[in-house]
Amino acid sequence: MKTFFYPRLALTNIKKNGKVYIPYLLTSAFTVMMFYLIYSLSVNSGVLKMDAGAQTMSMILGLGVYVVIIFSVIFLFYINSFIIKRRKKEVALYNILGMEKKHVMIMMFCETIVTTLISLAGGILLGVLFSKLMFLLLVKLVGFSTAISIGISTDAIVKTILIYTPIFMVSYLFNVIQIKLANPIELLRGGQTGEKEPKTKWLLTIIGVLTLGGGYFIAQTIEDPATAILLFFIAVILVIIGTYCLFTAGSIAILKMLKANKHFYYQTKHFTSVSQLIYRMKQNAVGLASICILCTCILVMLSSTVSLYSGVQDTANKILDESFQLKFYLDDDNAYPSDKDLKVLYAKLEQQLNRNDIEYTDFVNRRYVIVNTISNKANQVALSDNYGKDAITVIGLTLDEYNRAYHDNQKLAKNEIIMSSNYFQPQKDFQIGKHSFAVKEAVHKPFLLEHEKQVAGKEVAVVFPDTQTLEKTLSVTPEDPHMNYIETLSIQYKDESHAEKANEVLKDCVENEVRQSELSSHYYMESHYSIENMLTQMYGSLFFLGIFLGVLFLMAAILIMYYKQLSEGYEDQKRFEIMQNVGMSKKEVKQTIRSQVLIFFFLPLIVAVIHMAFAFKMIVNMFSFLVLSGPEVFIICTAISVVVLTIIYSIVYILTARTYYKIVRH
Amino acid sequence: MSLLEVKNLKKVYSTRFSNQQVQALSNVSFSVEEGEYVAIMGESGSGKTTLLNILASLDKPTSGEVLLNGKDITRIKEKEISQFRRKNLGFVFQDFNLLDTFSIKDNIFLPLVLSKEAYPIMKQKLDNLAPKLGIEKLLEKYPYEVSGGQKQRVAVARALITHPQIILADEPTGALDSKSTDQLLDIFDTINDEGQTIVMVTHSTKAASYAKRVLFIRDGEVFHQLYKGNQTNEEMYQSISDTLTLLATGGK
Repeated sequence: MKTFFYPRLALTNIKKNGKVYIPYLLTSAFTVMMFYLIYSLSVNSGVLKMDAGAQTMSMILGLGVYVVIIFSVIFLFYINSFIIKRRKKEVALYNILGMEKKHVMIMMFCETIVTTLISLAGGILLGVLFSKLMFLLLVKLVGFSTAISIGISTDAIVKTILIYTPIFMVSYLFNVIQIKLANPIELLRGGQTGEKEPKTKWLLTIIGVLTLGGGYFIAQTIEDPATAILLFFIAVILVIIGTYCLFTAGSIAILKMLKANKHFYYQTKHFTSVSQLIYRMKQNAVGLASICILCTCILVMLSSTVSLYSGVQDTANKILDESFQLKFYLDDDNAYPSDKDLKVLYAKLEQQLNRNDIEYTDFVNRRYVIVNTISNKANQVALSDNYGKDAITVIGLTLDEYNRAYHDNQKLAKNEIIMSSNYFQPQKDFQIGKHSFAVKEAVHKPFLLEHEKQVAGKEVAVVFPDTQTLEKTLSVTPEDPHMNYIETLSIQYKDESHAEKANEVLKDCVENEVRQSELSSHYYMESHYSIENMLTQMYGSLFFLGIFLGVLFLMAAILIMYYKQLSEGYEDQKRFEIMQNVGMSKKEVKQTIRSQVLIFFFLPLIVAVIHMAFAFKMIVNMFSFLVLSGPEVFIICTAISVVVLTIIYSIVYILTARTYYKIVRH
Repeated sequence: MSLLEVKNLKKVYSTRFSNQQVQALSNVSFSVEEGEYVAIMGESGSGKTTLLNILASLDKPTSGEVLLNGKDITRIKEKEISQFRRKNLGFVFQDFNLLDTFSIKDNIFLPLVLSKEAYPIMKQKLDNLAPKLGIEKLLEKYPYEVSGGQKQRVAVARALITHPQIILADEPTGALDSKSTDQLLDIFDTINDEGQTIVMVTHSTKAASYAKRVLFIRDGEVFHQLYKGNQTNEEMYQSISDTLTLLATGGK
């Protein structure tokens, strides 16, 4: 009979503390479910087999797994500490009634087992139920059509149990230490001892201002995308430190200053709010700062992944102008692949397209060199190996090649050139290094520039009168002007509807030819279709992860809020009763509560939006690598994310304020 | 006209889950003149807390009226009741009811701030009041830093600072040691001598013996009253004891 005593007691305890334990169980089950979902997706064989891009996807999902684990540990510990704080009194009572601490520990161990079992079982069950839905969402986002589905993953179940059982057990140990350290009288009093008014910590405030300022400064001043990625993390860490410092110390410093201002402080509206907020900030600053960070994370994740995802088409367009591109890097004497072999290949490719009824508007091949330059003036470039932001790619080809490729009949004098550029309107003359040329004509021909539509990469195409001039001008070593040419074939389909089939046909044909003839193996094939596919997979899985973690973080923020208001409400009951006795009207009580809860709720959100505003420039900068559609999309996505988050947040606020008022009025 | 007139006060509680009714006050009538110091005594359950709550406008009677300066406070609208309470009544509670988030000074200012007084006026009022109660050195401290007796004096200061018509005290000595009790009762004496009307509900014979008049309540009715007249505190104490004995043994 004695053996069943503790388990039974444990069950009763959990039932009696339902108000605290039900949200806790829901939270832990939810966290377990989220882990199960993301883990089962990341190891799902269906996902892995999808395509070449699946590797990126499984890597991104794997990253998500780690984020979820780290998050679970922090979050479950946090909630656990809340619960143990509320239950101290009860533990003390057991102590006084004659239960030794040893017995309390056994009892709590039984409780932990019960909660762990419920959380794991519930979480895994929900995980199995929702994994199909998640799988479908993922498949939809990355644009796959697959027959493979997802079943119950034993591996995921085992991993979930192996990871979460220790988390729950360690938090139990943490509780045991808490109980061990305290004596019954202390436990019984719990929060009743009068708290000292918090002191202003100037040092911490200053550190907060400096770190936050530093983070913001970095975010505002970085221009170069490559440095932005590196410094982004430094800025993030600085901002996080700053947020915590300012919420804990800065808030109290401000409130104290408000309190010192007698005219402001001794007004009905401010009097109670300011004095209570000082105490509340002391207790809750860390929680609020965490909520603020979580909200910032949600905003950054949602807005960035949404804009990545929605920019896929645009980005694909800018990466590759044509539907299909075949590039040969010619060998040192520019002999291989030979003209003859190439001619045969091109003929076969055209033949294949025609045979498969794939209509195309352009079929252009040309041979050219590419050199890197930097620009001093608009109509002047100099050879350089600086590949930074100001680099300009110069594409050089001869007049013969140009006339052949574009079926033209241009003529050039010795110092004349034909020009095309994607970033400036060519002027009368153009200077490359120390060679000056007269610009005979500015043209726009399809695929003459490698990336005509891309604004970020500046390009100039120059048609030289002959090979000699070309090599003399563009070679780094003019005394031995010898350059490696590139032969590129560009095909533009009439429409992209046959792109998949066309790709396949062309790819097969090229691979066949390369195998059979002496065509160089230094070739690259690229198609609009496959780029778009790859981007959809990558950004789609990032978007999925963004939504997934966004939901997880949002739940965390809401729960922290719930627990806070719950414990605050009980503490404030007495306070408001006294105020009513002294002559505060119900209306005034309601107003005070509203303004307090309002500040409490929206301070983190407002600060998060400010963080976001400062991070904006940096994120746009970093994304100039990944998304080529410009900042407008990102602005819209950010705005939408802020609005959505605010709406959800406001709903929770209304519900919480109502519950809080009910508790206080009691 | 008396300052406070209580006429035929009746209060019946009906519990939510049964039809059983509990009569807390059956028929209470008395009046308090300006400048009087009245103690209301009675055993637990005699209805004295209910009476005080009705006087404090925290509760409404089933029937009867309470006139303060001729105005029936039981008929004041809900909206105005807080303001009325703030202006006319001062409260002293058994467990002090000080707010731990406010300094002593701010606790005393609370009713004035609620009435939207300007800071210099509040400050002046406090400067006049604090020395009388011997709390001028505590003003910047917090409730958890001072003793029970000091807390109760702060509560008295909070009640007095609005210059209320009546001070209502609910077991003000209930949580105090004997020395603090003496100090508090002396303070009540002093402020009463200065003309402050006090109505105090108490269990303590000693506390009641300081009052000018003692009302005894039993089973929801005023059972008896004693005037102090020229008696000393000790003689008054004896008279109250005798009456209590009579009450307890059930004489009628």
